[in-house]
Amino acid sequence: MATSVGRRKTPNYQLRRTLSHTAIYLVLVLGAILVFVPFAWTISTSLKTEAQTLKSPPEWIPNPVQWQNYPDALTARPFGRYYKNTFIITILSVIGQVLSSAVVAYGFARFRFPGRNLLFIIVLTTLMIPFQMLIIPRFILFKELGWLDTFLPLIVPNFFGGAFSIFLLRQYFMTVPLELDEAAKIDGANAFQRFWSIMLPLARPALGAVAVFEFMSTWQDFLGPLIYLSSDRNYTVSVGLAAFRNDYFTAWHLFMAAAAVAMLVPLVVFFIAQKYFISGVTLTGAGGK
Amino acid sequence: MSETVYRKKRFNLFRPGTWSASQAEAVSGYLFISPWIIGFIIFVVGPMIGLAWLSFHRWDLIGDPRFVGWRNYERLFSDKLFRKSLEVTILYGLGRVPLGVIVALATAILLNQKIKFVGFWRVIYYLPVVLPPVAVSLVWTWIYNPRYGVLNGFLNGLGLPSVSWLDDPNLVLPSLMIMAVWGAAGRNMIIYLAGLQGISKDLYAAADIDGATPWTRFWRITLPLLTPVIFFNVVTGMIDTFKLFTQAYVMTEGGPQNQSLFFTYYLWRTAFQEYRMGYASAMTMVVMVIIIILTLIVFRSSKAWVFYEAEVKDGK
Amino acid sequence: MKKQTILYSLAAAMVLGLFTMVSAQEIKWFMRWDNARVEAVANPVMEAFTAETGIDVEFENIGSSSDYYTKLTTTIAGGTAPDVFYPATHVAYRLASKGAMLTLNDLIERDGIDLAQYEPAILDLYTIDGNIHCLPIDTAALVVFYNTDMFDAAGLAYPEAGWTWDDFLETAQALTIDENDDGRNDQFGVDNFRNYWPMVVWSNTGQGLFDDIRNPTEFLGDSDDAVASVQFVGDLITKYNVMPTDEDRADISDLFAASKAAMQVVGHWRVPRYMAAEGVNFDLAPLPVGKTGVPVNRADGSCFGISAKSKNPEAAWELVKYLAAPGALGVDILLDRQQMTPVISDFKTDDRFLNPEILPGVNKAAFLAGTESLNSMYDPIHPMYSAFDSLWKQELGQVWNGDATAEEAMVLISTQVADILANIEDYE
Repeated sequence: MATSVGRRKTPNYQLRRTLSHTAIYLVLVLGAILVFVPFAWTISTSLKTEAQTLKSPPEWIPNPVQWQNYPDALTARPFGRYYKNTFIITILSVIGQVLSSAVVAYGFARFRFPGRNLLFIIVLTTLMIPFQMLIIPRFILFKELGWLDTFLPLIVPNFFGGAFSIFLLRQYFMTVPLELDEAAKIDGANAFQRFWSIMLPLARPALGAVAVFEFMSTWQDFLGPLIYLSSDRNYTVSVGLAAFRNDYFTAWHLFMAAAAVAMLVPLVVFFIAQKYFISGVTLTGAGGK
Repeated sequence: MSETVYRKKRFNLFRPGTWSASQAEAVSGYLFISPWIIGFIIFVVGPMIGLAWLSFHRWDLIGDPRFVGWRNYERLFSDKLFRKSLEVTILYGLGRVPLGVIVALATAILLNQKIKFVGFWRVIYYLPVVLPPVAVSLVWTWIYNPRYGVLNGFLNGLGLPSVSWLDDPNLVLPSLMIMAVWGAAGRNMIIYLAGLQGISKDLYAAADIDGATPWTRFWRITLPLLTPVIFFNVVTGMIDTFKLFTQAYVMTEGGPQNQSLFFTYYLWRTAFQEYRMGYASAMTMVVMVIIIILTLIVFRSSKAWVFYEAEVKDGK
Repeated sequence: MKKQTILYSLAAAMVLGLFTMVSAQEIKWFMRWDNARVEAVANPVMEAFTAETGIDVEFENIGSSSDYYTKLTTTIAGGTAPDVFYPATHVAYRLASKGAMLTLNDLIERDGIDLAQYEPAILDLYTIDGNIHCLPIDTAALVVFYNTDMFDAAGLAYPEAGWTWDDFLETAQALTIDENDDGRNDQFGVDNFRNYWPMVVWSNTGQGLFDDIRNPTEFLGDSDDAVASVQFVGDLITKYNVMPTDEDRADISDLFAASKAAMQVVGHWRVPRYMAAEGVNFDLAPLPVGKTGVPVNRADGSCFGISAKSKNPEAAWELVKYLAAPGALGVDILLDRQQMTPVISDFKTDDRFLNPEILPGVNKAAFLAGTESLNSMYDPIHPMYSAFDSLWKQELGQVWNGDATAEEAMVLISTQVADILANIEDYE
């Protein structure tokens, strides 16, 4: 946070400062309201009757309050199953991504070898290429492997390191003093032991950041599951939600109930792990510098 | 991997003396990064070669691919929709990216004043970032609903006429931009905030002694020191617009009048609805070239902003 | 010793035989129905089928058609296609022309299926070079649903066969009401059927949009009558506003079901929805006639076909017959559940179709009108349709919102279509 900038504090200045601070708080509150309106509208609609959703001008207060919308929406399609699928995919992806990226990042951070800089630049370059560009050949690859309509296309690539995670972890590993490694080396620890028992425990904040980012990106992914999964029983929450919208017509009260629940899981994860998010984003920003 | 076990084998990579220290280090390094190398070959290089190969073929997934030479590329030039999709995507990026920078930077600057509960505000503004895009798209479709949506309800309440947000070809992109800024501003705000907090207080102190107003301090100190981060965000933001898919799929189906026919959506439609795999591949190749050019710009200008590059050169 | 060997081999042969019998008797059936239909139709059909034939059916269903076709295509490409599937007209054509569907001629002949029972124009859609590759079950015939209460309230006579598009417009105008005079209509004469604009073209020109639906070489949609037809549809929206704009619709997919439109142009598949809609009393009228004076209707529909790679074509054929051959039990069940406009002539006269108990007094014969001139909405059924489809959606969008005249839009469409037709092999 900004500290004193060494300005002489005249009464006039104090007044100006109080005024401008009030203005700042006002703007911040206004911004927070803007952030919250869509949430409030979602919750409000999710508790209305269908008839009330089709009132113009729209009403904010659900009357009567229709809790039944939630069970109705969640059973209109097998959302329980979608959540289970999404959790399986997400958790395995997170494990794969964190482990493999940490290993690779350690390689880049702690060893000298020919071509390292070039390879690392390639890692960064792949960061720039949206995977969306490769949907066709990857689809064909997974078709040939017989992986279509399984979770494998969504999980397995995560076990080979992600460019962003590698970058983030490498940045963090480089801040860990080399002396620790040297000490372990003298004690006879091999490279993998040094990685596993020295580096990983120290890098917990960065690993946490990578884990939450991977959690979010897998949870949010839509195009991947849309293309690779075709059976209803394999759908993720996002694909199920989109399909739900397609098979009903104007059940906005139900859509909003389903959307509210779909937003709940990432929000809970965010509140539990927010420090990892913030530190992770900050690390990314440091990369931008 | 205990060394004693390997010592007895006839071919032993790990026997002392087989490698010099630097060679051993290199081997370990390669071993550590091997997962990435393997993944890169299987999931990036392979598909890229496949993509290039397919782009010279005609294939609908069912028959055998037929070689057509440059034909797919030639056809691209007369494809109005392809041009439209590039136009829409770039137009969107040109609006959305600066808008996002302004909102995020303004919020970050506000939070960088001496205010209380910075952590609280940060969390609030970051909230939308974590939400699944499909759910967000559904919610905003309903917000933008021309008759029953809360936005037109609000406008009407102020005595203003209704607007047909997503149904109006001229408004669909701005509407999607507003939604995107709502969803993503929090993320960049945190990056800028970190950048702002990294600026040395001495600079401001010196400026104060010179009698600088807050305005000149912003233009002379804050902004120049943040430009690397902003620039980085702008370029990656432009590239990100080529990923846009969910909004088009859930909210607009590319319409009205293809005014939200984002590239990835058009790609998906051509490949997975029309089964023109070869043509869609050619389309992708062209966009890849565009993205590579953008990427090159980033790296060319790296002197201005890359700090990890220096670190790589330093070794450790 | 020898005896034992013989015994063993006999036992082995029996076991083997049992296995092959079991595996021979299972087929995979892949559908794209909504859950209600799966329960009401697919499940009873399968039960009855397995009871009768001893063939087990593994059933898979995907509700969304576009997902269904994606999966169908990828499983065919990957060699794991289901045995029996259910493509719409243009998809059947695409798959069959690639050799992905079994030719049924020999089986039809062997089992003496009476092809004369099928509407010739419909059967023709599933025939390539004399080879039938799919047995149709229904047509996607369109009718005008109308809300009788709204007609009564407006003091209007119910529409009758032979009414013209002018009558239609007049009726729609009388049914369009702005209740609170805020300048926005609250009840519309007819819900938006703009995507069925080719149907208006057929009625006025007597022909489809292309010279040949299989091998299109010329676009006919830019004739004066065709352009006037498109303009008519556009005028319904922008000039008369008897048909809602997108903004009027406000994401409500069916204004007729919501009692906000007095008429709806759609097919049989919406019947269950309107029956369930609260306070909607409806009856049916045939489509209005156009300049040619000949009633027209839509030909498309769905059919049951067999994968060319099916390991068990005989069992698959049993199921197809059960579902789509004249006199078959499955067809009876399908029909009884009110699911479609039948394509087999026996059923067209069946009381269970014409006068079902659940829809008393409703003029269901309206679905059968227009057989004199049946046309495909997927015009052409050639695979270039999808390109044409996005093309007209783009250009006609300007007509629907009043930014362009039909003539301007059709000029644009026709130049782009000419380009597609000149390079048609790119779309195959």
